[in-house]
Amino acid sequence: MENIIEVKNITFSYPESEEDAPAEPTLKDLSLDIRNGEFVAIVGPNGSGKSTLAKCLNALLLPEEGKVCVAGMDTSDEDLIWKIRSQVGMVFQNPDNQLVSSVVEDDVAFGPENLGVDPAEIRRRVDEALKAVNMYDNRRKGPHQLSGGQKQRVAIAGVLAMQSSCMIFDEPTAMLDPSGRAEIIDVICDLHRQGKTIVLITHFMEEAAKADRIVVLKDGQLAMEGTPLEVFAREDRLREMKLVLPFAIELADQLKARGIELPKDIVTEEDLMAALESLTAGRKTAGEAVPCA
Amino acid sequence: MRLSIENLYHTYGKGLAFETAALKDVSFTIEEGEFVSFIGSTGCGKSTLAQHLNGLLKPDSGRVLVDGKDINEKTPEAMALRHRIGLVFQYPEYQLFEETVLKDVMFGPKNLGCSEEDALRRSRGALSLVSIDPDIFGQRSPFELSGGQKRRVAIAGVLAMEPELLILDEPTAGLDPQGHDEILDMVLALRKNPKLSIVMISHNMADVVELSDKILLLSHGELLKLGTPQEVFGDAELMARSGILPPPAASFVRRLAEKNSFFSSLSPALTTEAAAEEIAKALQGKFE
Repeated sequence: MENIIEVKNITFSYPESEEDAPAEPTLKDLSLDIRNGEFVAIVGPNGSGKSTLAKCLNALLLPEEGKVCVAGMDTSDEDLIWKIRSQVGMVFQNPDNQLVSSVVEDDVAFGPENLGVDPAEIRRRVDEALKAVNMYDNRRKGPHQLSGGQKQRVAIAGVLAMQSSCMIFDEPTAMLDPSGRAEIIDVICDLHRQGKTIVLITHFMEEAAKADRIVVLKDGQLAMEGTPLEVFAREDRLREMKLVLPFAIELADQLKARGIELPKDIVTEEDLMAALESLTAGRKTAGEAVPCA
Repeated sequence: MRLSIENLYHTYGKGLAFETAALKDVSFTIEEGEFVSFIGSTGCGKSTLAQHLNGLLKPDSGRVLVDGKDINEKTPEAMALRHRIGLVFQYPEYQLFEETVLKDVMFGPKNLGCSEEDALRRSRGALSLVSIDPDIFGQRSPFELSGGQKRRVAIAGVLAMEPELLILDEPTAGLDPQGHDEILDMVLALRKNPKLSIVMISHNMADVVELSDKILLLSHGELLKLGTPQEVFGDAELMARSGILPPPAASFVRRLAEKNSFFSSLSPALTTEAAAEEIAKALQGKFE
């Protein structure tokens, strides 16, 4: 599979503020490849450089050293900047900061309109994008009539209508309630299944567990990388970085501590459910079980 | 202090096309020193209710009583009652505005008429309560702090007014795991004060279980239930009706009991420890 994004040894610092500015760069000699169609979760403590990295991926920020290539295009090439941004779309944290229009469907049309797409084609793309995030029935509503999760879905539709092949989500669920969060994660997983490349920045490990690969950043560098299973296996290191494990892993650990034998490859609640199923296959209900000897 | 709400109604946009009843006939009491969490899906009226508790919003009908006295009377006494209740909004760090941390925290008590000296003493105390050392951070700009620190400074600004009821509207929203734990530790410490009643609005059910004496569950502006965490989250029918997702441990145990007949008589559990205990007990029961 070919790489849609190649990050090669990039370093980035924010301009210094007056006094005691951080001397340390935000990103330090960081390299990362993202394959076409891959779902990558980026996690790490605050200040580890997650959002800065995300902004380097579609030329919102340019690295001081090293380079970022999107579908073979160097982000430092100003002539390519719009091509790059139409390839890599971004969804940010605050749903209220991303909608520009007073009608949902106009908002989704904003991107393609700006790209000079033919009106009939815009209509088709807007309808398709709104259907993909399950917001088609709300297309005539105003953003103020929507819940946070619905607003985020409209923001996602806006990126979809640009037909970006890669979508970057910078903590898209941080300001949502649990049901809003579930809506957004379902949409993200759907888009991934349909072949979009997904980069998800999140503090919620349950969300990261759904990715193909997790990248852990710390102090602007890659601290760990691997499948969810590989990353979550290194609990001590995660705890050191104050990252919390997904619930299913915590529960599995506590069960193991109580002498229950469980396989090592438990990441999601479904895994744990299946493991408990195989432990109890053929056994009667716990309450009714006859103690044997 | 004892706070009672009696038959409270609130409607937004009264007489307008978008008129919506935000609170309908809500009645309950918060005892002195009690920790009560308000839960419910977005738009259920949690924040509206919180803003009634200190008179920021006025009810269409119904009363808010502090130790039996109405806080919405137009008298100096009623105003003094409202000053005993401190409200911390969502994302309170956006409200920081002063040049230094200490000045920002002192703004509240000075506004209440405290002397410079008294305001300083209270503010240093409040900062210590939120684990921000006034000697280290007092003279810094609040804008140079981390997200979690900023939020704690903003909370200190309310604590410096020495409220007897503290209302926290989603105090951990949008923070990273470390920032979240810092706020949680702070709330746990505040909770030890037997005189201080706390109301917390939260979507984090694990936090709600860990902290609350009681949970108030709202749905579409109506009070569905006020009870212990066990009473609220243990009621499957109530959970389904309110659209609330219980803490992860509780939902897991429930799903396990439904899906796997071996576990069908598993008792409900609210925390990860309790869930592990129950599941282990069921599995090992057979071998005893």
